[in-house]
Amino acid sequence: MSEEATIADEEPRGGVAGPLAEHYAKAVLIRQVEQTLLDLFAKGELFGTVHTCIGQEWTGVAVAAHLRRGDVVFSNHRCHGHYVAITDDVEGLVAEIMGRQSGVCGGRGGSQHLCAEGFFSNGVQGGMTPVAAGMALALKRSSNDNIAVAFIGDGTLGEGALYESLNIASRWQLPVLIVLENNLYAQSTFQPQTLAGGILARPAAFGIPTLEANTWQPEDLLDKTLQAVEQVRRTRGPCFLRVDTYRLMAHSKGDDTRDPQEVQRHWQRDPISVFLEAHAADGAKMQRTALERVAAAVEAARRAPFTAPLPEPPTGAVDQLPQWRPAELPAGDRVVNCIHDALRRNMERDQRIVLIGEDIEGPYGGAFKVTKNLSAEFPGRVFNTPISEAAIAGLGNGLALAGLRPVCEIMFGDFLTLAADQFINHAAKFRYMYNNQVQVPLIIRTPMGGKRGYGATHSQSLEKHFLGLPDTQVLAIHHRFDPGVFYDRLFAGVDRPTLVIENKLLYGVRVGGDRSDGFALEYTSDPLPTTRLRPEGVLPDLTIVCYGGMLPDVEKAVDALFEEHEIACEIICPMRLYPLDLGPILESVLKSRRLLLVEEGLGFAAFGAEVAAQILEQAPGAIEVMARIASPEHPIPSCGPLEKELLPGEKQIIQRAR
Amino acid sequence: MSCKDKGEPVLVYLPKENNNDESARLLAWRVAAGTRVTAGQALAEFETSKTTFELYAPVEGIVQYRHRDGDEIAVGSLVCLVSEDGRAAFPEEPPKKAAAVQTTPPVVAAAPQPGLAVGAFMSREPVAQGRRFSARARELLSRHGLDPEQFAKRGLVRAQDVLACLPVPAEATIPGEARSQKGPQNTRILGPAAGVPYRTEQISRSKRLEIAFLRSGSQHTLPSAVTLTCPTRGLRAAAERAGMSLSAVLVYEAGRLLQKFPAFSSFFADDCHHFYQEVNIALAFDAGQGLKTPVLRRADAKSLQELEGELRELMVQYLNDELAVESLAGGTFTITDLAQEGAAFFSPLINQGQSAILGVGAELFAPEQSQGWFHLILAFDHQLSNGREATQFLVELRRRLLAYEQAWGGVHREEPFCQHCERTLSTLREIKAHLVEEVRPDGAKGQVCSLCLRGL
Ligand SMILES: Cc1ncc(C[n+]2csc(CCOP(=O)(O)OP(=O)(O)O)c2C)c(N)n1
Repeated sequence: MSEEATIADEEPRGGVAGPLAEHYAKAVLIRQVEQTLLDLFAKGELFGTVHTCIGQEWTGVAVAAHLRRGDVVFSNHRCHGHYVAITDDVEGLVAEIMGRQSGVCGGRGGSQHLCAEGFFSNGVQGGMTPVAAGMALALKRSSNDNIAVAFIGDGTLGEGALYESLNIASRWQLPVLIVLENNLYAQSTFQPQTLAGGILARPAAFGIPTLEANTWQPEDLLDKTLQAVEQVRRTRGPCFLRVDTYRLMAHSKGDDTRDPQEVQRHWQRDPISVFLEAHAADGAKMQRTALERVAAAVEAARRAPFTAPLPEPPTGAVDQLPQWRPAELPAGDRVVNCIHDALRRNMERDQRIVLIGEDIEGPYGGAFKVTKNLSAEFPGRVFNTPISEAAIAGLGNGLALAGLRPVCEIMFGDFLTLAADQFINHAAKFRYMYNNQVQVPLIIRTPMGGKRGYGATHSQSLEKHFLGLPDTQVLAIHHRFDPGVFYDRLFAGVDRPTLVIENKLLYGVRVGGDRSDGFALEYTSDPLPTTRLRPEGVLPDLTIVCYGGMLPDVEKAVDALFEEHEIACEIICPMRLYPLDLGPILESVLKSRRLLLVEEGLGFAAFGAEVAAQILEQAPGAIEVMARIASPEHPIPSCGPLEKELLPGEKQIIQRAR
Repeated sequence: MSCKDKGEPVLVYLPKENNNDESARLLAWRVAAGTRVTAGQALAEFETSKTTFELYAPVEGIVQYRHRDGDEIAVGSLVCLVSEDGRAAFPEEPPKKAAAVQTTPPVVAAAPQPGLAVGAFMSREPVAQGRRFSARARELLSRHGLDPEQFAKRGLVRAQDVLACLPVPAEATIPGEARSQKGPQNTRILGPAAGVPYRTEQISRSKRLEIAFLRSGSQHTLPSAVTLTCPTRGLRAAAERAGMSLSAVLVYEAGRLLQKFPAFSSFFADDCHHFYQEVNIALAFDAGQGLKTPVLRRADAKSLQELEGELRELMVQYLNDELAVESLAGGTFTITDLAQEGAAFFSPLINQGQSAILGVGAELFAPEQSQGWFHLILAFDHQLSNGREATQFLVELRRRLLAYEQAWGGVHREEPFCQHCERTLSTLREIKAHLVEEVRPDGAKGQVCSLCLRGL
């Protein structure tokens, strides 16, 4: 058996003195909460499942003992004990898990998704570690001595995001304490089956100081947690504390495959049982107090209404036609420079803006040079990260939770997949499941698109995979709306996770450059408007919907279609892909009755398909002819001519439009 | 009740008739302003996209109003007031309501009637700022020495727009030109036939909405076509035997029918239906010298002999390549006969400034059969007519052509037959049907079988 799997076999100490009593009382309270939750579960009064920490209560108690106001705790699925230890909010917790409005998250989050001031839990293993690192970065910048703490289980040692976070926390010396609750099992899996090498060797490899303790020696655990917390507070760098412990009940409910004798052995050395036996009178009093409090909490929760019904979802029905304003867009700089200037302008104006990404510091300034010189101009606000996309987005999440305005750059849009968990399961969920206690003003910028010969993994347009996530927005810039103004307005109003789709070829295009005669350029009144290129003096024969990097191609095609084929096309180019304002598209289609949807990415279940479906739902008779142009279902070849042949462009658009 | 009771004028507002219309058109006042009306008396007739309705006086009194016939009035706004002395002051319209109707176009909700909205969109388009010529338009400009400035602020200018501005609609009126290109936009009507007077009728609001709805982005015509099969035992051969020109007969009969069906000698522009007050029939022919469409003016007023003479004359001019420009202009309806070429069925394209074109196909006979058939095709602008009317036109024409065939002795029926379905008496017997004598409204007699009789 490996060193890590050995169960520490020291004699538990039975005695309890003054200051310990309070901590024991807390541990007893936590156990009572968990036991009551199991009862409620059995009675069918809970939703979903619960992961109880029975047997592990002391970890939360010990850490909480040394935290201060302003410290921020990130927890996981097994978070009830941590939560009660830190907040003492039994009532909020019980009501939350019972799905009541009086719950700490209004019943929206439930067992694994708790949030109170300075406390966040999420049920995605390892996902909170980069968020904790981001929070630690924010804490470090605000020169106080607060720290971030992240609880993880030993099964989570398998998650890559953890190592991205450890690496960054150490390299950047972030004040974050990682507390590993080593209970030897991940759900049903015994540690030796999945763990290679040692546990502490891992943080040590990143140069992170480590400490060890266990829950059978509470006083020593209190000492070690104090050392760990103080170490982080003092050095403003990370620390890793391994706490050996044992889960006495099932992983969640009815899913225990461990040897009953092994479990029984651990019950016999359970520190709380031992304490209660040794201090029968005090212990009984503690238990009674706990029982009464928890029972009262359950009673109160039972009387409270269930989670507030969802607000009416938007129907998506167009109830207002767009108001079009003529656009004034003099010829300007290249798109890349407009973005750069806007970042600089806004960083000057708003100290909260920080940039995170790979290779973005000077003199390199990003793979596409968007951030050139900014690291020199704004020291301490532009961060070169390791190649760690999950951590980049996770850091962004932590910074956003701390009230900053992180702008993450994912070097190639293709690698957004590596950051997807942070965007989808963290950023997009926090506001709702934490019941509006937080906002996540996170901006992720990334270039999509091909035609540069970068091949199958550096040329895709993957935005379709990120469309339709409630509480997020996906925006696509283009050269007919000044990207600088776009970013000014985005910074002024960002209130949710935002994905900005840039485009590699678009970077070099001049904003507001040469435009076809005979077409009026107009915007809707949205601050991030839909753009229309309207054929003047005639009704359109065809509506072409496109976005982002497709616009220059579509414009060229539209010019040729009129010049050579006398077909008058109207281009509708939304900037907000999600949530989508269908109005401008619908209006145009009602005029032309013909719709061509153009996008560079794969067409299956993509933006065009969604637009088509919505048009059909809202105005079933409106369309006579509809077609989509998208990438064929094929990986993108690197060979230039072949790639051009494959990806939608001017030629395909002309062919299809005729 | 009378308005005397209160001494105050009673305000009459436009009621909401349905969910589609935010306004209604005032078709006509039924009473003159200042008239004394009784309660319940009809005041005015309105039209919505769905229906027409009348507005009645709520009380007795003198009617005052400011709207005129034809006005579009917003739902909920003041139509008139009824007062005792007829001298009540008009209240200020609540500006919000009026503004709402003008600036907020109808909502495009989940309603499956986007037609309404389309109407709204069209009027929303701002005026063009510049102009832009297509390649073909540019070429035409230089070929005809036209000043591009003529098109200032016209937005996109296509070949057809330039053609519409030519002093004599030279090539534009020649269907060959249109036929040489593809795409529906070539059949668009741009302006009236040069120099032909016409009268104008308003197109009803509901029809306009239908038009707006059906319009497929192309602005001018909505081409549709109806085909009718005509039984024949050799109409052409019979005409030849009788020394008659079938073309002249077609022009003659079509000319007369067009008086009955004026919609096919008309054009659509600016949301209005314009009816030509002359029937000028263009006859498309191509005898190897290129396709030309000489026009037989006032075909409805000329005798068959006159038309025959004129046709012969035009034919000579055509063969000598001497057709005058004037003889090519001013057609209000076109006939194209592709029998010579052997085309049995084809879809003719409507010419500029017109609303219909008649196609006549070649006769077809099965081997060893004397009974054959040919097709009459009427392509027409669905904005101005409909399939039913087009069919009626063709049925009537078929009846007349059959009469010629009989008169010329082309049809030698050994036995009586149904003049609608052409089944002979023996065939009818086999299927247990019979023939009855029929007298048509015009007094002509004929036979109809029991099957068709039931169908009719
Ligand atoms: C990313 C992710 N994968 C899988 C799961 C499902 N899951 C929930 S808890 C758990 C086991 C976690 O083990 P460990 O980290 O040791 O924590 P413990 O349950 O022992 O406290 C698993 C696999 C999850 N929540 N998140």
